[in-house]
Amino acid sequence: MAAKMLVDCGYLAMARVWGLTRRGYRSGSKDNRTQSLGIPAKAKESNLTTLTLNVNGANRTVSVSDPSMPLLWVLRDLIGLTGTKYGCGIEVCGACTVLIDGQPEHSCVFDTSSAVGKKVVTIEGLSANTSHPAQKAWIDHQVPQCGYCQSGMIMSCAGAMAAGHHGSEILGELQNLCVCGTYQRIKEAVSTL
Amino acid sequence: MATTTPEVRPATDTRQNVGRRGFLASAAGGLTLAFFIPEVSRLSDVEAAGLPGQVNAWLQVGTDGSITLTIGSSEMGQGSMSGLAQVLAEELVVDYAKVKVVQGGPSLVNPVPVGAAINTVGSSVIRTNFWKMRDAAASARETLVQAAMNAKNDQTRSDFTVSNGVVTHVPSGTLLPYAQLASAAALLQPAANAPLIPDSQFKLIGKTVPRVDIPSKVNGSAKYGLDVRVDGMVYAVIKHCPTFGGTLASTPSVPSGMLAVVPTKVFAGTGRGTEVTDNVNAVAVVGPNTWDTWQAAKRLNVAWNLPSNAANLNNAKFLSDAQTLLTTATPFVAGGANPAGTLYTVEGAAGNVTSANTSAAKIVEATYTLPYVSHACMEVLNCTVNYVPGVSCEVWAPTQSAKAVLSLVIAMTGLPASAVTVHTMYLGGGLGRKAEVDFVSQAVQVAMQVKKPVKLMWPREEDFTRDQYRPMGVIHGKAGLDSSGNILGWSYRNVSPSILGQRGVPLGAAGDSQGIEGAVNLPYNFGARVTEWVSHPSPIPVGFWRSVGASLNTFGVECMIDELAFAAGQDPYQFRRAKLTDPRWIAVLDAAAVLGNWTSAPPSGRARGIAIGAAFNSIVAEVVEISNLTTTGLRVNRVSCAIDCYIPVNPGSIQAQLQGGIVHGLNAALYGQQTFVSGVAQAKNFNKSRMIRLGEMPQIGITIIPGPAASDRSVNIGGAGELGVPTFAPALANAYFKLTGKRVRSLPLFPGATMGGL
Repeated sequence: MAAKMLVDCGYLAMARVWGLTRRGYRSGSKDNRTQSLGIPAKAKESNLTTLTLNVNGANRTVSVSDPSMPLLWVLRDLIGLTGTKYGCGIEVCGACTVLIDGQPEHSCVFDTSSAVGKKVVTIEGLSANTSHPAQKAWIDHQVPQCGYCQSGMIMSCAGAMAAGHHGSEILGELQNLCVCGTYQRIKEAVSTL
Repeated sequence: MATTTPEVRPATDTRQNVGRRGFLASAAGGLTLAFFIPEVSRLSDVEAAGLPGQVNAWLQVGTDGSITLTIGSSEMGQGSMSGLAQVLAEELVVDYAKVKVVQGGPSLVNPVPVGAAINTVGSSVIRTNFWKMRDAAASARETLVQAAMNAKNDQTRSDFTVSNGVVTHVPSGTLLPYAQLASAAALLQPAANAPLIPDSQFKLIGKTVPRVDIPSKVNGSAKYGLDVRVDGMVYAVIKHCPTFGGTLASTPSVPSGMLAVVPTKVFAGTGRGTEVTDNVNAVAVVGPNTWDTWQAAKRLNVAWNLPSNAANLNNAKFLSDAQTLLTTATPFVAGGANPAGTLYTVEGAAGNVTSANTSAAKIVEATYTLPYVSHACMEVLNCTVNYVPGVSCEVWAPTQSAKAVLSLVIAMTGLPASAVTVHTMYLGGGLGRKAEVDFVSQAVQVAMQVKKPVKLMWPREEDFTRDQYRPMGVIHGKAGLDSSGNILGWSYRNVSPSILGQRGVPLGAAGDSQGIEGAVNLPYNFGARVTEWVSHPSPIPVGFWRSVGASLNTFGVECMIDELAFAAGQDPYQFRRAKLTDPRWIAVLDAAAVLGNWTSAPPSGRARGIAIGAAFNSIVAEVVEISNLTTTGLRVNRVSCAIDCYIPVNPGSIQAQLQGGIVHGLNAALYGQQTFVSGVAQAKNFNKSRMIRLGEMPQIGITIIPGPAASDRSVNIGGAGELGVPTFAPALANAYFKLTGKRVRSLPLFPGATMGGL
């Protein structure tokens, strides 16, 4: 059978590799969201930095060896929120877009340490039950094809909406790249927002 | 309809040697599956565990009446997973809204059983599985009815009706839901020659129904290959030799904080061109998370041995080689060595064309040049592997070819098929690149070395610079016109690297079918014709890129036809119309012309071009309207596209695919190319490989030629996934000529284009 898939921290595997002690970090379920990573003592000695982030309304504590690790990889690898995508790593495609204090930002170049004390919202936290108007419009207009860019696209749209923009105003702010070429349906969906 | 990500199921069966009789005996206790469509003669590819309500390998009926279908196609945005579910649901007579879809695993059985992984290439999922799925579903439906007949002890079929997953015994009024019948049906022989639903009664086929994967793609829950997380997983980042053909000189030491540096070789069957089997052409750095590992890989100083021919691996050389071969290629000799540079005559004869053109009033001649193009899927190549030495190997991959993955892993690990599990994850774009398994072989090598679950990622720069590119091509056309504008002789020669040849496929007298598709069997009234293909010697790895050879040849053919129309002094649409001999082509051309207002003058400052072509059994024509030409770009205002795919299963999906294909063709025609300097690919990220953003999107109109009133299964169904691509570039080039008076004979139009940050 399939190996159990879970949210994990890369350092856990490494901790096992190095014989370090794990102290029960596992995010992904509400009851332990605020649980500390619990940095292994030896890991502390190897210059890990502990950061606490507010992601989708919950505090998440992570340990990084490089405080400039972009938020994208902290979200994906350390916290386990994989809805935010890696596309280019150089702020050209927008697949990694998240909201930071309500503002669309490219998490692929956003220093995680700069996100401390701010509210980070990812696609997973945009709404309960896929109920954000943009998400509903995307479904109604059957927008996604491969879908890989759409997390970022929707977060950009949500950011524009949160700023009070509508319709064509939003379109002007959707600079995300879609290789599938879903733009026509995006335009149709956004025209309803 | 399911609103969740298709769940991943175990892929392979552990009972390869169980015969039908023995299996049925065991099934009697636990009830699993017991019938198969007729062409499946072995029981080697069934689900590992029998589940309650499991009618057969691909159909499970829940006690709540839910229907779960196991679908074999990879979902990369083309909607074919939903399309197959739609076809199955139609013949099963179940409510599509209640259908759940799960991803089927690969099988080594031939032909591929229903529900097992299908090689998802060639716009083929619907067109090659439509009748097979209908037959299978009709058989399953009639077997469920047979179970009802047995239950009611009434063997008169006409006493039973089926609606929404419920069999009704009309005389007694008894309702028998599939959920009640599944157990008994599973023990019956599958119904043979089950009648299909008449076209006139279709409720799903031909209708736009919502795709099952879309809700998960707007809330972050869809799991792509790169999203796989396995307990205890470590991360690997690939670093190839920057130069094609280069090999590792010495293994670098493991950087601080990293777990390993694993040299990876080209595994047999995965290498193309310069990348020869057993060459160690990359190292994988293994570490605790993507970022730290990637940074370590970037910093890693690796010594490579560069190939002696590196200086020759550049664009100027490739182009001059091709131009030389346009006139000097050596004809194919049966039984000969036929090395690169061989001329293959695919159809017709050069002598006949020469004779036909002796009376020509005009001779038109042109040479067209097309570049290598990267795939640039939004999701970079990646693969996750959990290898337990001597015990098992589990693979998660965004793959178009799960069966090839299975075969590869068996070959690499020596494990039996029963110990290998392949999970096809959602693909963040496939475009042909993820039909290859080179990246899978690397991940398996790393996993075998580190003996722990590992996710291997190609950073974007590796994805661009180590692609298996759309082949370059140089195409020469020459044709004679008489004084009335009739085409007397048509000569067409394409020089391009061979996709099949680089895969070790021996090329016969007709050369590489992939290289010449789109240029043969053209239903134009040419007095005489010769179609030739020449294998270009460039060893830069090439592969299948959305629409493959048609992406080059439809450009060459339809630009040439436009040049002939101009030389004949005729309207490009009417010229084509007069020369076409196939009424379906004419109908498609007419539909595009109507949609594109061809006969009305375009708005001031705009111009239109037209092109038509066929690929994967579909016929497509496009009218492209452009304006605002500058030195760095132009505006594509409108694209009007018509398609005849014979049976349009899901018009909404076909529309989406054509829109996407047009954008794909547009990006390539305006900006797309990969270039090489001494074997090093130059475009390394999207900033140097411009594509359009939302504000540059043209308005696209689509006309789908309606399906037949009564479908004929002897007529080929056409594909849609790749069909927007081939006719875009020539229609654009022909519009450009109309706008400027200048012919576009080299793509892309704006080769230096870059794309700034957001």
